[in-house]
Amino acid sequence: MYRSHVLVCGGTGCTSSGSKKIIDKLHEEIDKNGLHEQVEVVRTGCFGLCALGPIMIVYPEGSFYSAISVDNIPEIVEEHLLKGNVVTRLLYKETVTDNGVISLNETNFYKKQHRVALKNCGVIDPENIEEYIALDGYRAIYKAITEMTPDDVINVMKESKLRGRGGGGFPTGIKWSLAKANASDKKYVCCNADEGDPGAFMDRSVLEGDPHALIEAMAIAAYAIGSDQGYVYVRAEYPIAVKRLEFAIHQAREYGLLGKNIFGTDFSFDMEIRLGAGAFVCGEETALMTSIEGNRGEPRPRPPFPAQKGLFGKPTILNNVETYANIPQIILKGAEWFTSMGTEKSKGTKVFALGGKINNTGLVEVPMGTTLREVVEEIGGGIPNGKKFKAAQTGGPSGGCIPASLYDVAIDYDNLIEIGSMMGSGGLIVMDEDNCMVDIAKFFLEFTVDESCGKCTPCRVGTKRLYEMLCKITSGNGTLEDLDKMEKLCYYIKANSLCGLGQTAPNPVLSTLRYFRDEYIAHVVDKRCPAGVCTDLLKYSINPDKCIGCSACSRVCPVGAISGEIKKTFVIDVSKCIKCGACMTKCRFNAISRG
Amino acid sequence: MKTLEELLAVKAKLAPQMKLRTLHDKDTTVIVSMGEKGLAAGADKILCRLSELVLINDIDHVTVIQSGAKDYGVPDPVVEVKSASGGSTVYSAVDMEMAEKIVKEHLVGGNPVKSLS
Repeated sequence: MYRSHVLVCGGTGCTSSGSKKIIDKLHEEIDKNGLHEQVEVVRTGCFGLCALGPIMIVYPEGSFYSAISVDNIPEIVEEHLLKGNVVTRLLYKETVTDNGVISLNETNFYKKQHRVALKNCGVIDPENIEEYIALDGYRAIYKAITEMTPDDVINVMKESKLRGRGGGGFPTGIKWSLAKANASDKKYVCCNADEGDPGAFMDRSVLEGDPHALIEAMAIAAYAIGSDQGYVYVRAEYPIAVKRLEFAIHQAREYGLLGKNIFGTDFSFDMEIRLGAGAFVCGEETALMTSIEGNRGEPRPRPPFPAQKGLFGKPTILNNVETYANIPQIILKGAEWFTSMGTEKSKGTKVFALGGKINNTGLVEVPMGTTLREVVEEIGGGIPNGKKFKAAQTGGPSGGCIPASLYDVAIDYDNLIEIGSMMGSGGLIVMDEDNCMVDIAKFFLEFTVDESCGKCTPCRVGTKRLYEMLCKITSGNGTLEDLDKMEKLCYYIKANSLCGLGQTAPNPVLSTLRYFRDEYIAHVVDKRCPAGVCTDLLKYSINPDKCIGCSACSRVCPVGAISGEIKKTFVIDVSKCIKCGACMTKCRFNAISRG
Repeated sequence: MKTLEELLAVKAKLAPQMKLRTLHDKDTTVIVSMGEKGLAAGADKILCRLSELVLINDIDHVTVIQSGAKDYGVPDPVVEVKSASGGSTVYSAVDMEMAEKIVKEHLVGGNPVKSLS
């Protein structure tokens, strides 16, 4: 038996910063020090604090090593694992206090988190089904198929008030009961692991860190609605996730937990993976199913809803990865346990992927109802370089921004809709005072223009026109009239688009117009970009009173737009200037201003 | 795998080992002093044995960790049993037999092994 476990993150983030080499080196050094019978190395899924990867935790002490490199491994193995001296210098600095090393559960990043969907991520080896079983894995499916009727399962899901974590927030139990009610010779259970929102990676992390939870949950869903076949639709851009899920499915079959007559009952269920090519629209349920069928991923009108006519024309349920990740625990611990977390209408927890201008980029899971301020300032560690929080975008290109004035709003489905945003899959992109909100809206519109499938006109043409209007504004040619026209067009696109992509695409524009109209007006009326981002509206000039003629600016200018004699005032040739701002950053005398 | 018993057997096989990965507040910490002197006296073997006994016997209020060399001024291997309330007992020159006694009488029974401390 091992006396110590060394857990190394093998998620996409830490893998790209070299965790695989760290694992190899650990094995080598552990062998060298004769510790291979005492210390086990485990490659796990994501710990969440991606900004500080690669991350390694040594148990039972719980020493949290962050941003380590292969070169640190010999020292950690010899000093810590062999001789017992924790290498404090390499620990996550939040865990090192004047009173010694504190547990990671006491750090700001972890203290307020509550892990349900991510329970096993960063705890188990995702490629070892027995570790999942050791933490009560596959107990829920056993309980469901041997002790409960399909209706019992659906009732528990309804009572738990679990809502879809992919963004829409539709009650899962109701979705299942609709599919169960439709009699058919064949029904399907699908999982949406397409995760198209730029900046969101919780579904990937569940697949990479706890794939058996998804398999078990899909089996429970299949039992509840009377299906025997599942499909997971996952983008090919997630190679590690695909590989681990494939491996997990294979293992589950070997153990008889997928296949015919599971646990000796009449219930049979198996599942397959379908790879998507990464189109944003394939995250929309009807487009996703069309893609699984082997056709071009385009949406179709609803009704009929998937619960009536879904995949291959048969009753189908489609849930998101994070939704599924909650289900085995709800079955095991009961609906009451789940409803004890969260707000009145949004129960449980939500995983957020923190990105943008934030110190602790990574994955966090908090009870519904946690405020944006708590997530950004306390868990996320605030904004880098002492800058001020300006807004946060939730829900990616389909969502909207939340301004600083709503910093204390409790995050749940209904509150976010009310303030003009949406939960989306949980991407949370933080913006500071250096971000131009018009530019942000333009960025998201550019994305939706690219990703619009083209099937319906309001989305295909409407988003393009909207994007052009934003370009007109950021280039200094917009008028106040354009703002009104834009708003009208937004509502038109929302009302008339075929699917969720078009219906939500104008949200970034509408919410920035609502909360940052003054910035739009500055662009339109004053021809000025307050954040200094829209280059067409910027003009750099040198203040003769402050310039000492050191020539530093002219040497750093990439296009040779600055000239002058040493010790005399330099000047910028505006016709050559590309407005990169390099001169302003370089000048030590504050002599260059941006207007 | 066809029965609950088979599932529970897998769980039982791995569960003790998985307990290493929890960070609940434990009210007793067993610290084995390592360092070169400790290692020379076989402290790593004592550490492994104590850890194993605590894990397989489900002594959930105890965690067994190692520390760097501490100058207790007594012969190695040195094992210190520390409770969250502040009490501490130091055992010196611990061998396998003593390790088992410490687990049985002190960690499970709650009484420091006076004859050894």
